[in-house]
Amino acid sequence: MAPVNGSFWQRFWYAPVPLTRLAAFRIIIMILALWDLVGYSRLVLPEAAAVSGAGTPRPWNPIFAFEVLGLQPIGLPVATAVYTVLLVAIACGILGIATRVACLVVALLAFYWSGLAYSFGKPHHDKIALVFALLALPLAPVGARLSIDSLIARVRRVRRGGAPTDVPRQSEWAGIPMRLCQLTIALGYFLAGASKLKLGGLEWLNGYTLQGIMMGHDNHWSAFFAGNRRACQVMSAGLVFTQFTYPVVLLWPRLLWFYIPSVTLMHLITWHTMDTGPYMSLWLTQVAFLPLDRAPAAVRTWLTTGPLLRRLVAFLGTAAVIALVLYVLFMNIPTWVAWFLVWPAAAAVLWLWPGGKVVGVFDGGCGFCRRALAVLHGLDWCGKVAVQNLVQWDEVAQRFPQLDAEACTRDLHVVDARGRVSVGFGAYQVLAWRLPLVLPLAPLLYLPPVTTIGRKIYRGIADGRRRDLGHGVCRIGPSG
Amino acid sequence: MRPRRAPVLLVVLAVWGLLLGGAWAQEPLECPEPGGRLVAVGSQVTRIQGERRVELGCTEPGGPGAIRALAPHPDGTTYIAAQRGLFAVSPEVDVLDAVDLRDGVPPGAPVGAHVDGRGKLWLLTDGAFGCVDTDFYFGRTFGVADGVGPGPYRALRLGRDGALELRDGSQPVVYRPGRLPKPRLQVRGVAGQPYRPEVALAVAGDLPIEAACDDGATLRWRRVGHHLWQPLEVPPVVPAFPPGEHRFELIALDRELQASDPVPVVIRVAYPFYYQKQVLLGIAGGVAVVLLGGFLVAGRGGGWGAVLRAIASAGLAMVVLLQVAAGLAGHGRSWPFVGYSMYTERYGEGSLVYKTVLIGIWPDGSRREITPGRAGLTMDDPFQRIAPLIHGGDAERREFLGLCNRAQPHDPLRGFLVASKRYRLTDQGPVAVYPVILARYEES
Repeated sequence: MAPVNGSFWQRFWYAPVPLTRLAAFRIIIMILALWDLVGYSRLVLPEAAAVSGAGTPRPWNPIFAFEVLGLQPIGLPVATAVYTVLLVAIACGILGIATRVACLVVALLAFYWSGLAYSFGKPHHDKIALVFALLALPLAPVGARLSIDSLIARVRRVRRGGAPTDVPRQSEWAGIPMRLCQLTIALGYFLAGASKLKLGGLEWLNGYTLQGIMMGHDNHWSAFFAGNRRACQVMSAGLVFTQFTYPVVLLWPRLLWFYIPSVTLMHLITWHTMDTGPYMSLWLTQVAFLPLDRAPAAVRTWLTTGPLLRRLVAFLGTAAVIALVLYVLFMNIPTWVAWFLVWPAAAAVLWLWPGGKVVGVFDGGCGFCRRALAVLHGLDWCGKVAVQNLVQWDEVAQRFPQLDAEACTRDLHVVDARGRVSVGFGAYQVLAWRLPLVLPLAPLLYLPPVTTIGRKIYRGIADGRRRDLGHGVCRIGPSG
Repeated sequence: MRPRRAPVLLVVLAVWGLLLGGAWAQEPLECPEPGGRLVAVGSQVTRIQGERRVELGCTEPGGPGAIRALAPHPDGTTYIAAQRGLFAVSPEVDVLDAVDLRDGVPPGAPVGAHVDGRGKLWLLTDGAFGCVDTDFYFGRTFGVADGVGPGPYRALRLGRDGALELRDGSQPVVYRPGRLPKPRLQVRGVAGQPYRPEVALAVAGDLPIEAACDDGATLRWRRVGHHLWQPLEVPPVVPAFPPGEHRFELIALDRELQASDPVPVVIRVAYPFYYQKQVLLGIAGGVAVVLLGGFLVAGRGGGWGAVLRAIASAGLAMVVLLQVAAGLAGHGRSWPFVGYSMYTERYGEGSLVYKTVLIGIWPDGSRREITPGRAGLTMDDPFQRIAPLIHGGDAERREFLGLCNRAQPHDPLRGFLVASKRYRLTDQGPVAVYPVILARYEES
């Protein structure tokens, strides 16, 4: 361990962070990158078309980084290629396929994409935190959870002799993207607040200034908010105070309960009073401050326990946040993508459903079963599937007397809370309803041709596994 | 009634009689405006639109004072010469607002006003006579050399053939506007170097301009992208520019504020050595190496893990340092390391706020706000696309209208206006005051 271990710097950047938190952060940042990409394509692609001869592009005034790198305007074929690669890389980043490479490609090309837009126009500061989060993601083990990569890694780990459920839970590199994002957000707000005081002085808080700024940008809420100078004075003071003191959240994270809603509200008001746009690439990156891995459990607790009024407030609050994010998201993203939301919505219902837990009885001594268990464990994001190792048959028999040892070695068995047993392909049908990632496939598994084909495939694999037994790969039965 | 009180009563009655008689004697002033007409009596302006009568307010707490003339402008704005200054109102708003006059405008309290066919405002004050540009509100005060003898004059009347009659009680002085040829401007040198169009001249400091123009003309300049024309003294010197390449324009204005074709000038001001690419990158590289060394020393003995961490730490520290440095220096083109000087301007009570918008004109004459996006144009903010419509000529405006109508052939426009919506900030909230029309284009 480095001698700096224990220093503030070391604790700030390298304190171990749960890999699930990093993975959730990765997915949110990738979705934001997609939103930003599609939005900025409305600036970049027409300019590229103009460069290709379909009009007159705006003057090219490259940002400093482009000047240093000698980057020039691109035509439509190159722009389309970059756009396509970015879309594919973002999809890989969300799904977790070659995750680190995908994140690196997204970081570099998203920077390039924004740089192109800014070199034809003027740079904005709404997505600086997003850009640095993207650039920092490849430094961390971003594919270690909630990814196809992690499923493959689990299988490989089992092949090397590791336990199916024994996976690293945190990493000292996992916090870096979130920390850099936090620091960028805090610095940005602080510098914005400080600039207002430095350049505008205390006169900036006189109420007229905010009135003037709102009316100078004049959106549909401007007249209402600018109509009362006293209210503008209070808002000015609150705005500067919140921006200037935002960095204290790095020292006292509990203050996030004040700062995150405050600045989010500020951006929503400026959107409708100053026509700034939704600014989601800034306020949503504040998820970097949240323990995302614990958020689902916390929300579930708010929604399912305590007094009814509190639960109602929690429900309305959660629904409002989700509705806001989706509303802004679909301003850029085509609405047909909304059909995909049925998937996470169903997963959320599953996750909130208090029952539905099952126990899968696996042959822990069988390599194939262990790999299947590793994958199943990796997909069990809602914690609905417990595992019982067939090798400890006495425990299994005591817990589930209705099971037969011979049958269990032959087929996968799943037992639900009422003691009902599903076997073979039927067990997979039951499991599919409990694994969010394969949830959309669950109804399909009941279609007659799918059921027939699925049973045959299952039988083939299960029998093949049994044939492996002859080569000593698996042991049969409780006695081994 | 006791006899000794009678004289006092008579005096009081006489004073009242004079006051009332004076008011009755003052003829109401009247002028047309789009959709109706304005009538001014005393210090009150009333808008009459059919049966509807609206008494117009005023953003000046004391009101405009006695109104002496109404001067309608072709764009719909009406200028009001009043005791407390020059005011204006337009059909969109129900309040008079003082015109923010700039340099060169005749000083004193307005006595008379008239807008000629080219949209120039002729203003007579109790001390001077001159012309005012109604886009930017700078002006030119006439003197003997301009054909107008010393006043004071008491009234401005429109005579035959558009002649302006200045009256001082005796024979009127007549000035006939619109008879001057378009002025010409020839720029010969900038900052001691021969002028060459579209060639960037390397300059430093203030920029003396060597130019030839018609007698009596004055010079103005503006940066390309900034619409306000700034005055130049004699000899003309454009103030120094910050480092980088810049474009500005020069025009000559005759005494009637008729402008010559603009002459574009391109200059390049060298960056100080510490802003040069190589120096900046060198400093950044040096700091990175020092940081890396520091982290390596701090983590020595930790193996490859410590080395990797040192590299990452050096990179992270550089990113944070650059963010802070950019935040202090405040420059946008170093993105993603930027300053945060946006929204740091200040306003106070009575400040004017401008928002420039496009207003589409449909074939039936109806008008609504549109955005440049209607023409399928990309932009960061609308002004980026609106500015060329203000600065450019009819060719740019025709092209924009064509783009709009090709993009939406089912809903074509007949023309458009570029208007600066304006708000006066008050304790009771912002008050919409007359907009300024910056450009207009209509196809018959």
